[in-house]
Amino acid sequence: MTLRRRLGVAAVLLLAAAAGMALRAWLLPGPVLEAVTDGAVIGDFSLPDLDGQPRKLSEFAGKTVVLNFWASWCGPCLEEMPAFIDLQNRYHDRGVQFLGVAVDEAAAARELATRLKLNYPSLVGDLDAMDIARRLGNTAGVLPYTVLVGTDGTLRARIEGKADAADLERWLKAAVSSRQVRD
Amino acid sequence: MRRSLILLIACLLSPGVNADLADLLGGTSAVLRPEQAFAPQLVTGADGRLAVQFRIAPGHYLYRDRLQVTDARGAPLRPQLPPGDVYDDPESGPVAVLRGDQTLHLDIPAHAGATIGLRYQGCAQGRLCYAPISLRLSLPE
Repeated sequence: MTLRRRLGVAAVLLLAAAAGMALRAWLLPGPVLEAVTDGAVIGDFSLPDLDGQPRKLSEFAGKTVVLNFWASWCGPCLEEMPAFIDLQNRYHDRGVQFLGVAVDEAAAARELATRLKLNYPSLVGDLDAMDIARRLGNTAGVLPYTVLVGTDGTLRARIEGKADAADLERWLKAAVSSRQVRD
Repeated sequence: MRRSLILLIACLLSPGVNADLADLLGGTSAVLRPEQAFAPQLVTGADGRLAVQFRIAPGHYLYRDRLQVTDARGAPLRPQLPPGDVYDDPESGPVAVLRGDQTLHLDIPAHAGATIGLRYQGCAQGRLCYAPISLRLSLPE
């Protein structure tokens, strides 16, 4: 095979790989942030935090809450957490509170939270935590699962699977600006 | 030119170039319910013993080492597991996973009404995982 032909084959292979990746992105778009227009007020619940102290959702009443169900064995859950940490840093002063709920054993969840330097609280539960997620619309039992809770405590949006950080930030910006208008 | 085009199409469809592209071509962007994603079924194997067949949807995988099988009373069983593939999880490192159609063989004679307990965990690659799923499977009476 001549050098020219080899280069041609290499170019075709590169093009095929690139086209394959583009096709993959097209076939499997990221999970969509789905707005919930008639969301009810989320019922309060209590679970232990990573130090074993009981915590309630109602502690965060009046804030825009991003409630994220995750597990230490769930790769897509861990992949989205750095973006959550960044958003918590940038929106904390504007009344946004991220809150994790680990569907996991406490020791495994604690180790992950420490390793990732989680800057927001996480609760932990096993079947109890999954029951709460199901009550919040996670009928397929997937992780990660994220719901967005308005300052009035109503369910405003949900995300099945790994969140798109740009989508989430757009939603947070809108929530924060509507809160400022009301204030 | 024609040869290049044929090569390009072959590469696009070749799992060797893009590991799961062929899978994805038959896949869907919708979130499947766990029973659709993994579809386990208890059957009688060719050797007259119980076997569990999984039909794992394209783009999905089961964690091989998190599969647990028990008898009807909850006592653990040791199924013969397929070797599976090694998936290099970006967060957890290399793990053994099962994809496509897979069969677990059990060293238990099949009989009408035979029942087992099954617990498994799996994911849709890069998108989401399913909380641990526990269920009981039976052969027809």
